[in-house]
Amino acid sequence: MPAEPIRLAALLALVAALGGCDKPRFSDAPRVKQTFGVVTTKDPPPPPPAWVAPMLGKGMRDVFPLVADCVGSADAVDMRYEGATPGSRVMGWAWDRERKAPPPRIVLTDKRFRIVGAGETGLSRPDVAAARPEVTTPNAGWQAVTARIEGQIYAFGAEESGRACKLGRIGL
Amino acid sequence: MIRVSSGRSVLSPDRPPWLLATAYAAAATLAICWPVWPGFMTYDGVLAWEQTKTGVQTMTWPPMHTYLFALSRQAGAGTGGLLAAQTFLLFFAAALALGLVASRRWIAIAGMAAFAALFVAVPALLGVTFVHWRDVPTASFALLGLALWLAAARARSLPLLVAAVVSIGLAISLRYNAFALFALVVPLMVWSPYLGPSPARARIAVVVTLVAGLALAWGSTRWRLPDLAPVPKVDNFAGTQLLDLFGVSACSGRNYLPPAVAEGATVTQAQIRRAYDPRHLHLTIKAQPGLPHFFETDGDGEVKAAWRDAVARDFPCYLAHRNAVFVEQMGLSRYGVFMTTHPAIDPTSDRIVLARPGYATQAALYAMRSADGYGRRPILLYLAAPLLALLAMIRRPAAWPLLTVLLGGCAAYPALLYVAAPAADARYIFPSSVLCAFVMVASALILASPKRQEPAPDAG
Repeated sequence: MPAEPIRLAALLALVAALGGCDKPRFSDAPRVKQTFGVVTTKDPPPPPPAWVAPMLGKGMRDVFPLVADCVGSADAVDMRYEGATPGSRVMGWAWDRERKAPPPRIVLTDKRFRIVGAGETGLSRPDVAAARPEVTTPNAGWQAVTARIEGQIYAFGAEESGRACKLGRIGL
Repeated sequence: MIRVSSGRSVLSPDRPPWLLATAYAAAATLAICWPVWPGFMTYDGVLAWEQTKTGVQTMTWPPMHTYLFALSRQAGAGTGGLLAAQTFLLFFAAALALGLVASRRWIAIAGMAAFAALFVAVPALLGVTFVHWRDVPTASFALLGLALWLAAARARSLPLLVAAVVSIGLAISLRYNAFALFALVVPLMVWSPYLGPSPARARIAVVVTLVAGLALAWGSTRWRLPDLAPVPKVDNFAGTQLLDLFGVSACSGRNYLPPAVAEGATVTQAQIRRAYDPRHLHLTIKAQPGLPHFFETDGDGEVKAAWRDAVARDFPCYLAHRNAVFVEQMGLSRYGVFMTTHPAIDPTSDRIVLARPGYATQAALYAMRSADGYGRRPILLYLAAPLLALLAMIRRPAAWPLLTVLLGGCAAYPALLYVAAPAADARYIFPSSVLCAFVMVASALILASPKRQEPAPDAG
């Protein structure tokens, strides 16, 4: 078989593959170069932060009535606890535009906006700072844990003063 | 037997007053645009303008407004170029059409003066023309379509007829609901393109151009220019549905608001009643002491589901709420007319400012302060237009097809808004208000014209 058509076909296949990797033309959102994998464990989830215990089950805005101006997202479920005490760990990033810092706390709610979990910020996410110039720290990442193992979860950045902002939604 | 073919006899035997219409439109454009140059802008207008630099990013608002701004930018006229163009088109079209129904030139001139005077007498009309709201070019292209149609009928001109339908397509591409203005016009255009005996090719031209125009209008909201990239469609109805949920909840005593609307805050019935304002969703959800923070959201589909439930379970309350919005919309509220104008330019990236802020403020204040007078509200246009049209039809029976289809537009446009209006802003009914103003003046001109013998149906 002549080599020329094979080379041509290989070149076309490469071009098609690269074309498929392109971002949609209608999206101008900055690309965050981060891959996420899910780890499962039989271990129990870590205990929630002490500050969230009295809030569990309450309406999000009943506890945090003030609206903050943030950007961020709930990126992935990165850990599933599949032992006797099940649960999920969600990760993402957050940035408070007013305070110009990551919100100190993360609150997770269910679909009805009842508080079901919590976590902390300060984790390393250099990809976020690289993609969004307004984020001036490489530590805008967060992790939060909930006892839920299915359904939709909303993530909020929050602070003690009662300010909070919605970061995103993710399915467990 | 009804003889639609005689409708053409309502048209003046004189040539269309092209030069007079141009001079009149230029004077009206100068009077309206000079004080508010380059035109007030709200969020919608600013976004449409910014997209001339960034490319169309959203189909939440039909992108035709952006394309008109782009033409203005390319012409080096900035935002003011579009303000002048849309104002000129509006008054040019009105003058041309009035000149075509007036039997004498001086009667046409009186009609043009009366049409302009209605903008001062009903300040909700004037106030809207000061702002870069796409309701104005919608009305301009709608009226231009009407004027070109009448000119086409008088001259039996196929090019003018096609241009009329293209203009109607442009109006619909600016506002989807503009098709209601032509709900009865289009059937008459297809049936009797020249308002009298019409060749089949004229009918075919109307149908083909209309189908092509509507397809392009639809396509313009799917793919953007110039790269034809697809832009995701946005559900525009969620805002209306959310306002409806507040209204039905306030009326029925049942809380239909999905948890996402208050993000889990406990909401009492008293709080919903306090928050609910039928004039606008943003007034309803604005931050107020003692109320939870309400968010403008579709609740990931929950608002739509709750809306269906609310309308089905509490239909009388849904109607009561829509009535409340309609009352505000038409200027029937005892508090006056809502959002007559927007007396400012919201921040733009290129820091557009008013050329004459003092005059602009005076113009805006006139519109806002005088619009609430009981004799100056938009509803009067909707009452006077059918009354005068009826008298004109009695005097000149040949006028009934034309006046009836125009009245159909006057009624169908606000009727559609009755169920679909996301807010009670005066600008939403601007196109139909302008049409009513035109019908009023055209009817008056027919009444003022000396009665003449109607030509035979087949008279060219």
